[in-house]
Amino acid sequence: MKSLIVLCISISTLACAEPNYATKDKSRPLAQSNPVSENCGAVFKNSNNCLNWRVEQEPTQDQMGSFTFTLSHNPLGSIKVVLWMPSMGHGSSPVKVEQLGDRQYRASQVYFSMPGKWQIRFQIKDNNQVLDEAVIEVEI
Amino acid sequence: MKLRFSIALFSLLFLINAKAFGAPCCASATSGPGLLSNEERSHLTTRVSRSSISNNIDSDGYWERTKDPVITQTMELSGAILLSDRWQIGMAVPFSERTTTSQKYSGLGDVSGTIGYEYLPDWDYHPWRPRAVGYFQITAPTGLSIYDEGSTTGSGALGQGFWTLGMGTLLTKAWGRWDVLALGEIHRSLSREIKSQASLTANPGLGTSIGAGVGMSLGAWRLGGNVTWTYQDPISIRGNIDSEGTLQRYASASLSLNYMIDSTLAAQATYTDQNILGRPFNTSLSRIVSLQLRKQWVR
Ligand SMILES: [Cu+2]
Repeated sequence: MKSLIVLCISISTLACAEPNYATKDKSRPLAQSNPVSENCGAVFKNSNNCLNWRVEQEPTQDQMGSFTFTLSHNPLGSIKVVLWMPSMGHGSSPVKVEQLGDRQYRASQVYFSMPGKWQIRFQIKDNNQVLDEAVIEVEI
Repeated sequence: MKLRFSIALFSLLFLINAKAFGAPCCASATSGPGLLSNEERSHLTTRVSRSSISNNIDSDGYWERTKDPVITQTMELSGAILLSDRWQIGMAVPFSERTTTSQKYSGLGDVSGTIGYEYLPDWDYHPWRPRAVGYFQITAPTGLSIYDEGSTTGSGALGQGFWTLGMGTLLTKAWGRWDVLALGEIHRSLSREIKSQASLTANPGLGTSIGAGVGMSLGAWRLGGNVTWTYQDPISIRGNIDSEGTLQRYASASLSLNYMIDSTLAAQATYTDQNILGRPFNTSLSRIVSLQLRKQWVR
Protein backbone atom coordinates (compact mmCIF):
# COMPACT_ATOMS: atom_id res chain seq x y z
CA MET A 1 0.00 0.00 0.00
CA LYS A 2 2.84 2.37 0.86
CA SER A 3 4.44 1.90 -2.55
CA LEU A 4 1.07 2.58 -4.13
CA ILE A 5 0.79 5.92 -2.39
CA VAL A 6 4.32 6.79 -3.48
CA LEU A 7 3.43 5.86 -7.06
CA CYS A 8 0.25 7.95 -7.00
CA ILE A 9 2.09 10.98 -5.67
CA SER A 10 4.89 10.65 -8.17
CA ILE A 11 2.43 10.38 -11.08
CA SER A 12 0.46 13.40 -9.93
CA THR A 13 3.57 15.57 -9.61
CA LEU A 14 5.01 14.67 -13.01
CA ALA A 15 6.09 17.58 -15.14
CA CYS A 16 3.19 18.73 -17.24
CA ALA A 17 3.70 19.32 -20.90
CA GLU A 18 3.74 23.15 -20.58
CA PRO A 19 2.71 24.05 -24.10
CA ASN A 20 4.88 26.73 -25.63
CA TYR A 21 2.82 28.02 -28.54
CA ALA A 22 4.74 29.79 -31.28
CA THR A 23 3.45 33.28 -32.00
CA LYS A 24 4.99 33.49 -35.45
CA ASP A 25 2.81 34.47 -38.39
CA LYS A 26 3.01 31.57 -40.81
CA SER A 27 0.38 32.72 -43.26
CA ARG A 28 2.98 33.32 -46.00
CA PRO A 29 5.69 30.76 -45.23
CA LEU A 30 7.55 31.01 -48.54
CA ALA A 31 7.64 34.80 -48.75
CA GLN A 32 8.72 35.05 -45.12
CA SER A 33 11.83 32.89 -45.48
CA ASN A 34 15.16 34.71 -45.15
CA PRO A 35 17.33 35.23 -48.22
CA VAL A 36 21.03 34.41 -47.74
CA SER A 37 22.14 37.82 -49.02
CA GLU A 38 20.78 40.99 -50.53
CA ASN A 39 21.18 39.74 -54.07
CA CYS A 40 20.68 36.00 -53.75
CA GLY A 41 17.78 34.05 -52.31
CA ALA A 42 20.12 31.08 -52.09
CA VAL A 43 23.61 30.17 -53.30
CA PHE A 44 24.67 26.81 -54.75
CA LYS A 45 27.41 25.19 -52.66
CA ASN A 46 29.89 24.17 -55.34
CA SER A 47 29.41 26.68 -58.14
CA ASN A 48 28.30 29.81 -56.25
CA ASN A 49 25.48 29.95 -58.77
CA CYS A 50 23.03 32.51 -57.38
CA LEU A 51 19.34 31.68 -57.17
CA ASN A 52 16.49 34.14 -56.87
CA TRP A 53 12.90 33.17 -56.50
CA ARG A 54 9.46 34.75 -56.51
CA VAL A 55 6.39 33.26 -54.90
CA GLU A 56 3.39 32.87 -57.19
CA GLN A 57 1.09 30.97 -54.90
CA GLU A 58 1.66 30.26 -51.21
CA PRO A 59 0.95 26.61 -50.41
CA THR A 60 -1.79 25.88 -47.90
CA GLN A 61 -3.21 22.72 -46.40
CA ASP A 62 -5.69 22.31 -49.26
CA GLN A 63 -3.92 24.07 -52.08
CA MET A 64 -0.57 23.41 -53.70
CA GLY A 65 1.76 26.37 -54.15
CA SER A 66 4.11 27.51 -56.88
CA PHE A 67 7.09 29.80 -57.36
CA THR A 68 9.42 30.84 -60.14
CA PHE A 69 13.19 31.01 -59.87
CA THR A 70 16.14 32.18 -61.91
CA LEU A 71 19.80 31.19 -61.80
CA SER A 72 22.75 33.49 -62.42
CA HIS A 73 24.57 30.85 -64.50
CA ASN A 74 23.46 27.96 -66.64
CA PRO A 75 23.39 24.76 -64.56
CA LEU A 76 25.63 21.82 -65.59
CA GLY A 77 22.79 19.31 -65.27
CA SER A 78 19.04 19.06 -64.89
CA ILE A 79 17.44 20.90 -62.00
CA LYS A 80 15.21 19.24 -59.44
CA VAL A 81 13.35 20.69 -56.46
CA VAL A 82 12.91 18.53 -53.35
CA LEU A 83 10.85 19.47 -50.31
CA TRP A 84 12.53 17.99 -47.29
CA MET A 85 11.80 17.83 -43.56
CA PRO A 86 15.23 17.31 -42.02
CA SER A 87 14.12 16.86 -38.40
CA MET A 88 12.06 13.78 -39.27
CA GLY A 89 13.94 12.66 -42.36
CA HIS A 90 11.20 12.64 -44.95
CA GLY A 91 10.09 14.50 -48.02
CA SER A 92 6.75 15.53 -49.43
CA SER A 93 5.06 14.93 -52.74
CA PRO A 94 7.20 15.49 -55.86
CA VAL A 95 7.54 19.06 -57.11
CA LYS A 96 7.07 19.72 -60.80
CA VAL A 97 9.81 21.83 -62.41
CA GLU A 98 9.42 23.37 -65.87
CA GLN A 99 11.80 25.60 -67.75
CA LEU A 100 10.30 28.97 -68.66
CA GLY A 101 13.24 30.50 -70.48
CA ASP A 102 16.95 31.00 -70.25
CA ARG A 103 17.90 30.09 -66.64
CA GLN A 104 14.25 30.64 -65.67
CA TYR A 105 12.07 27.96 -64.09
CA ARG A 106 8.75 27.38 -62.43
CA ALA A 107 8.24 24.97 -59.52
CA SER A 108 4.64 23.90 -59.03
CA GLN A 109 2.73 21.30 -57.01
CA VAL A 110 4.53 22.61 -53.93
CA TYR A 111 2.90 20.96 -50.92
CA PHE A 112 4.13 20.52 -47.35
CA SER A 113 2.56 17.55 -45.65
CA MET A 114 2.91 18.79 -42.09
CA PRO A 115 3.83 21.93 -40.14
CA GLY A 116 7.40 22.46 -38.96
CA LYS A 117 10.77 23.35 -40.42
CA TRP A 118 11.26 22.37 -44.03
CA GLN A 119 13.94 22.81 -46.65
CA ILE A 120 13.44 23.58 -50.31
CA ARG A 121 16.41 21.83 -51.90
CA PHE A 122 17.40 22.84 -55.43
CA GLN A 123 19.51 20.03 -56.82
CA ILE A 124 21.48 20.09 -60.04
CA LYS A 125 21.71 16.50 -61.15
CA ASP A 126 23.47 14.44 -63.73
CA ASN A 127 21.39 11.27 -63.91
CA ASN A 128 21.20 10.24 -60.28
CA GLN A 129 24.27 12.14 -59.10
CA VAL A 130 23.84 15.45 -57.30
CA LEU A 131 26.43 17.88 -58.69
CA ASP A 132 25.38 20.94 -56.79
CA GLU A 133 22.77 22.08 -54.33
CA ALA A 134 21.18 25.22 -52.85
CA VAL A 135 18.91 25.13 -49.82
CA ILE A 136 16.21 27.53 -48.65
CA GLU A 137 14.85 27.06 -45.13
CA VAL A 138 11.13 27.64 -44.64
CA GLU A 139 8.83 27.34 -41.66
CA ILE A 140 5.40 25.92 -42.39
CA MET B 1 -11.37 -12.70 -3.84
CA LYS B 2 -10.02 -14.97 -6.55
CA LEU B 3 -12.40 -13.50 -9.14
CA ARG B 4 -11.55 -9.92 -8.22
CA PHE B 5 -7.89 -10.78 -8.38
CA SER B 6 -8.21 -12.16 -11.86
CA ILE B 7 -10.29 -9.22 -13.03
CA ALA B 8 -7.50 -6.93 -11.93
CA LEU B 9 -4.93 -8.97 -13.80
CA PHE B 10 -6.99 -9.27 -16.95
CA SER B 11 -7.54 -5.56 -16.89
CA LEU B 12 -3.86 -4.80 -16.45
CA LEU B 13 -3.16 -6.42 -19.74
CA PHE B 14 -5.69 -4.26 -21.55
CA LEU B 15 -4.03 -1.15 -20.29
CA ILE B 16 -0.92 -2.01 -22.19
CA ASN B 17 -2.88 -1.92 -25.41
CA ALA B 18 -3.40 1.79 -24.93
CA LYS B 19 0.31 2.50 -25.29
CA ALA B 20 2.53 3.03 -28.31
CA PHE B 21 0.54 4.60 -31.07
CA GLY B 22 3.77 4.89 -32.97
CA ALA B 23 5.90 7.82 -33.95
CA PRO B 24 3.33 10.54 -34.25
CA CYS B 25 4.53 11.94 -37.55
CA CYS B 26 3.40 8.81 -39.23
CA ALA B 27 1.30 7.16 -36.63
CA SER B 28 1.25 3.42 -36.82
CA ALA B 29 -1.72 1.85 -35.22
CA THR B 30 0.18 -1.04 -33.69
CA SER B 31 -0.68 -1.48 -30.06
CA GLY B 32 1.44 -2.99 -27.33
CA PRO B 33 2.44 -6.60 -27.09
CA GLY B 34 -1.00 -7.89 -26.02
CA LEU B 35 0.47 -10.46 -23.64
CA LEU B 36 -1.54 -13.08 -21.82
CA SER B 37 -2.47 -12.61 -18.20
CA ASN B 38 -1.58 -15.38 -15.77
CA GLU B 39 -5.11 -16.76 -15.87
CA GLU B 40 -5.27 -16.98 -19.64
CA ARG B 41 -4.43 -19.78 -22.04
CA SER B 42 -5.28 -17.61 -25.04
CA HIS B 43 -7.10 -14.44 -25.99
CA LEU B 44 -8.59 -12.81 -29.06
CA THR B 45 -9.07 -9.07 -29.01
CA THR B 46 -10.75 -6.56 -31.28
CA ARG B 47 -10.00 -2.91 -30.77
CA VAL B 48 -11.36 0.08 -32.62
CA SER B 49 -9.83 3.49 -32.10
CA ARG B 50 -10.12 7.02 -33.33
CA SER B 51 -7.08 9.22 -33.11
CA SER B 52 -6.91 12.88 -34.00
CA ILE B 53 -3.82 15.06 -34.09
CA SER B 54 -4.28 18.12 -31.90
CA ASN B 55 -0.83 19.72 -31.78
CA ASN B 56 2.37 19.66 -33.78
CA ILE B 57 5.63 20.25 -31.94
CA ASP B 58 8.54 21.46 -34.06
CA SER B 59 12.22 20.67 -33.63
CA ASP B 60 12.66 23.73 -31.40
CA GLY B 61 9.94 22.51 -29.07
CA TYR B 62 7.37 25.10 -30.17
CA TRP B 63 3.74 24.01 -30.25
CA GLU B 64 1.22 24.65 -32.96
CA ARG B 65 -2.46 23.77 -32.83
CA THR B 66 -3.67 21.67 -35.73
CA LYS B 67 -5.85 23.77 -37.99
CA ASP B 68 -7.05 20.99 -40.24
CA PRO B 69 -7.93 17.67 -38.69
CA VAL B 70 -5.92 14.53 -39.37
CA ILE B 71 -7.96 11.58 -38.15
CA THR B 72 -6.91 7.95 -38.02
CA GLN B 73 -9.48 5.23 -37.42
CA THR B 74 -8.09 1.82 -36.72
CA MET B 75 -9.47 -1.63 -36.21
CA GLU B 76 -6.98 -4.05 -34.77
CA LEU B 77 -7.26 -7.78 -34.29
CA SER B 78 -4.83 -9.35 -31.89
CA GLY B 79 -4.40 -12.65 -30.16
CA ALA B 80 -2.00 -14.64 -28.06
CA ILE B 81 -1.68 -18.28 -27.04
CA LEU B 82 0.37 -20.22 -24.51
CA LEU B 83 2.97 -22.62 -25.90
CA SER B 84 3.88 -24.01 -22.51
CA ASP B 85 3.46 -22.96 -18.91
CA ARG B 86 5.72 -19.97 -19.39
CA TRP B 87 6.11 -19.37 -23.13
CA GLN B 88 3.55 -17.51 -25.24
CA ILE B 89 3.25 -16.13 -28.75
CA GLY B 90 1.01 -13.40 -30.07
CA MET B 91 0.20 -11.35 -33.12
CA ALA B 92 -1.50 -8.06 -33.94
CA VAL B 93 -2.96 -6.97 -37.28
CA PRO B 94 -4.23 -3.39 -37.60
CA PHE B 95 -6.29 -1.88 -40.42
CA SER B 96 -6.36 1.89 -40.60
CA GLU B 97 -8.04 4.70 -42.41
CA ARG B 98 -6.41 8.09 -42.27
CA THR B 99 -8.33 11.16 -43.31
CA THR B 100 -7.02 14.67 -43.89
CA THR B 101 -8.90 17.60 -45.38
CA SER B 102 -7.74 16.67 -48.86
CA GLN B 103 -6.89 12.98 -48.79
CA LYS B 104 -7.98 9.61 -47.53
CA TYR B 105 -5.81 6.51 -47.19
CA SER B 106 -6.82 3.13 -45.91
CA GLY B 107 -5.26 -0.28 -45.65
CA LEU B 108 -3.20 -2.63 -43.58
CA GLY B 109 -1.02 -1.11 -40.85
CA ASP B 110 2.17 -2.61 -39.45
CA VAL B 111 1.73 -6.25 -38.44
CA SER B 112 3.62 -7.42 -35.37
CA GLY B 113 4.44 -10.72 -33.72
CA THR B 114 5.50 -11.35 -30.14
CA ILE B 115 7.12 -14.16 -28.23
CA GLY B 116 7.01 -13.88 -24.47
CA TYR B 117 8.45 -15.72 -21.49
CA GLU B 118 7.19 -15.45 -17.94
CA TYR B 119 10.47 -15.14 -16.03
CA LEU B 120 8.85 -14.28 -12.73
CA PRO B 121 5.68 -16.33 -12.27
CA ASP B 122 3.20 -15.50 -9.60
CA TRP B 123 2.15 -19.02 -8.65
CA ASP B 124 2.34 -18.49 -4.92
CA TYR B 125 0.68 -15.04 -4.65
CA HIS B 126 3.80 -13.62 -3.11
CA PRO B 127 3.16 -10.48 -1.00
CA TRP B 128 5.29 -8.12 -3.11
CA ARG B 129 7.17 -9.93 -5.88
CA PRO B 130 5.53 -9.04 -9.21
CA ARG B 131 4.64 -11.28 -12.08
CA ALA B 132 7.03 -10.48 -14.91
CA VAL B 133 6.93 -11.34 -18.58
CA GLY B 134 9.79 -10.58 -20.94
CA TYR B 135 9.14 -10.48 -24.65
CA PHE B 136 10.64 -10.04 -28.08
CA GLN B 137 8.61 -8.31 -30.74
CA ILE B 138 9.06 -8.01 -34.45
CA THR B 139 7.16 -5.45 -36.48
CA ALA B 140 6.90 -5.67 -40.26
CA PRO B 141 6.54 -2.53 -42.40
CA THR B 142 3.32 -3.74 -44.00
CA GLY B 143 1.59 -0.36 -43.65
CA LEU B 144 2.04 2.32 -46.28
CA SER B 145 4.72 4.66 -44.94
CA ILE B 146 6.20 8.01 -45.88
CA TYR B 147 9.07 6.08 -47.46
CA ASP B 148 6.89 4.24 -49.95
CA GLU B 149 5.70 5.29 -53.34
CA GLY B 150 2.03 6.08 -53.24
CA SER B 151 2.29 7.82 -49.91
CA THR B 152 3.48 11.22 -50.86
CA THR B 153 2.67 12.97 -47.64
CA GLY B 154 3.49 12.26 -44.01
CA SER B 155 -0.11 12.64 -43.02
CA GLY B 156 -1.16 9.80 -45.29
CA ALA B 157 1.06 7.22 -43.65
CA LEU B 158 -0.42 4.11 -42.07
CA GLY B 159 2.82 2.55 -40.85
CA GLN B 160 6.32 3.33 -39.66
CA GLY B 161 8.08 1.96 -42.71
CA PHE B 162 10.78 -0.02 -40.89
CA TRP B 163 11.38 -3.56 -39.80
CA THR B 164 11.63 -3.20 -36.04
CA LEU B 165 13.00 -5.62 -33.47
CA GLY B 166 12.11 -4.93 -29.89
CA MET B 167 12.41 -6.43 -26.45
CA GLY B 168 10.64 -5.44 -23.32
CA THR B 169 9.27 -6.48 -20.01
CA LEU B 170 5.97 -6.06 -18.24
CA LEU B 171 5.68 -6.27 -14.48
CA THR B 172 2.31 -6.55 -12.80
CA LYS B 173 1.16 -6.88 -9.23
CA ALA B 174 -2.24 -6.87 -7.60
CA TRP B 175 -3.18 -6.41 -3.96
CA GLY B 176 -6.86 -6.83 -3.28
CA ARG B 177 -8.71 -4.26 -5.32
CA TRP B 178 -5.55 -2.39 -6.27
CA ASP B 179 -3.09 -3.23 -8.99
CA VAL B 180 0.02 -1.65 -10.48
CA LEU B 181 2.10 -2.22 -13.56
CA ALA B 182 5.43 -1.14 -14.96
CA LEU B 183 6.76 -1.65 -18.45
CA GLY B 184 10.00 -1.00 -20.23
CA GLU B 185 10.76 -1.60 -23.88
CA ILE B 186 13.64 -0.95 -26.26
CA HIS B 187 13.59 -1.43 -30.01
CA ARG B 188 15.80 -1.05 -32.99
CA SER B 189 14.54 -0.31 -36.45
CA LEU B 190 16.56 -1.42 -39.45
CA SER B 191 17.89 0.89 -42.14
CA ARG B 192 16.07 0.93 -45.44
CA GLU B 193 16.06 2.46 -48.89
CA ILE B 194 13.56 5.19 -49.60
CA LYS B 195 11.79 4.29 -52.82
CA SER B 196 9.96 7.53 -53.44
CA GLN B 197 13.22 9.50 -53.51
CA ALA B 198 16.07 8.10 -55.53
CA SER B 199 19.22 6.88 -53.76
CA LEU B 200 18.35 7.57 -50.14
CA THR B 201 18.85 5.41 -47.10
CA ALA B 202 17.02 6.03 -43.83
CA ASN B 203 18.79 4.99 -40.61
CA PRO B 204 16.32 5.05 -37.73
CA GLY B 205 18.37 3.80 -34.75
CA LEU B 206 16.96 3.01 -31.33
CA GLY B 207 13.74 3.83 -29.59
CA THR B 208 12.50 3.16 -26.11
CA SER B 209 9.46 3.58 -23.93
CA ILE B 210 8.80 3.18 -20.23
CA GLY B 211 5.53 3.34 -18.44
CA ALA B 212 3.69 2.81 -15.21
CA GLY B 213 0.05 2.43 -14.28
CA VAL B 214 -2.30 1.90 -11.42
CA GLY B 215 -5.83 0.55 -11.24
CA MET B 216 -8.69 -0.08 -8.88
CA SER B 217 -11.33 -2.77 -9.27
CA LEU B 218 -14.85 -2.75 -7.95
CA GLY B 219 -16.93 -5.80 -8.72
CA ALA B 220 -16.83 -6.36 -12.46
CA TRP B 221 -15.49 -2.86 -13.05
CA ARG B 222 -12.00 -1.51 -13.08
CA LEU B 223 -10.74 2.03 -13.45
CA GLY B 224 -7.12 2.47 -14.43
CA GLY B 225 -4.63 5.11 -15.42
CA ASN B 226 -1.20 4.87 -16.93
CA VAL B 227 1.55 6.98 -18.40
CA THR B 228 4.07 5.97 -21.07
CA TRP B 229 7.07 8.00 -22.17
CA THR B 230 8.39 7.34 -25.65
CA TYR B 231 11.74 8.32 -27.09
CA GLN B 232 13.00 7.80 -30.63
CA ASP B 233 16.54 8.33 -31.93
CA PRO B 234 17.00 10.80 -34.78
CA ILE B 235 16.41 9.28 -38.22
CA SER B 236 19.45 10.14 -40.30
CA ILE B 237 19.34 10.13 -44.08
CA ARG B 238 22.23 9.39 -46.41
CA GLY B 239 22.48 9.60 -50.15
CA ASN B 240 21.38 12.38 -52.43
CA ILE B 241 20.20 14.18 -49.33
CA ASP B 242 22.20 14.12 -46.13
CA SER B 243 20.35 15.03 -42.97
CA GLU B 244 21.03 14.10 -39.37
CA GLY B 245 17.47 14.18 -38.07
CA THR B 246 16.27 15.19 -34.64
CA LEU B 247 15.17 13.04 -31.72
CA GLN B 248 11.46 12.60 -31.07
CA ARG B 249 9.85 12.43 -27.68
CA TYR B 250 6.36 12.42 -26.19
CA ALA B 251 4.34 11.01 -23.33
CA SER B 252 0.91 9.37 -23.43
CA ALA B 253 -1.48 9.52 -20.50
CA SER B 254 -4.41 7.09 -20.48
CA LEU B 255 -7.52 6.58 -18.48
CA SER B 256 -9.46 3.37 -18.99
CA LEU B 257 -12.60 1.72 -17.78
CA ASN B 258 -12.98 -2.05 -17.93
CA TYR B 259 -16.04 -4.17 -17.52
CA MET B 260 -16.13 -7.96 -17.27
CA ILE B 261 -19.22 -8.91 -19.24
CA ASP B 262 -18.84 -12.49 -18.06
CA SER B 263 -15.90 -14.53 -16.83
CA THR B 264 -14.38 -14.84 -20.34
CA LEU B 265 -15.40 -11.63 -22.06
CA ALA B 266 -14.19 -8.16 -21.15
CA ALA B 267 -14.85 -4.71 -22.59
CA GLN B 268 -12.69 -1.66 -22.24
CA ALA B 269 -12.98 2.01 -23.11
CA THR B 270 -9.81 4.09 -23.09
CA TYR B 271 -9.02 7.75 -23.51
CA THR B 272 -5.40 8.61 -24.29
CA ASP B 273 -4.00 12.12 -24.42
CA GLN B 274 -0.47 12.94 -25.54
CA ASN B 275 -0.88 16.66 -24.86
CA ILE B 276 -0.73 16.50 -21.07
CA LEU B 277 2.61 15.18 -19.88
CA GLY B 278 6.28 15.17 -20.75
CA ARG B 279 8.31 17.57 -22.82
CA PRO B 280 7.19 16.66 -26.34
CA PHE B 281 9.69 17.38 -29.05
CA ASN B 282 9.67 17.10 -32.85
CA THR B 283 6.39 15.22 -32.97
CA SER B 284 2.62 15.41 -33.41
CA LEU B 285 0.40 14.89 -30.40
CA SER B 286 -2.92 13.08 -30.58
CA ARG B 287 -6.01 12.40 -28.57
CA ILE B 288 -7.21 8.83 -28.92
CA VAL B 289 -10.45 7.14 -27.95
CA SER B 290 -10.61 3.36 -28.18
CA LEU B 291 -13.05 0.56 -27.48
CA GLN B 292 -11.97 -3.00 -27.03
CA LEU B 293 -13.48 -6.42 -26.63
CA ARG B 294 -11.34 -9.28 -25.33
CA LYS B 295 -12.39 -12.92 -25.42
CA GLN B 296 -10.40 -15.09 -23.05
CA TRP B 297 -9.82 -18.81 -22.65
CA VAL B 298 -8.65 -19.66 -19.19
CA ARG B 299 -5.90 -22.11 -18.25
CU1 LIG C 1 7.47 15.23 -40.49
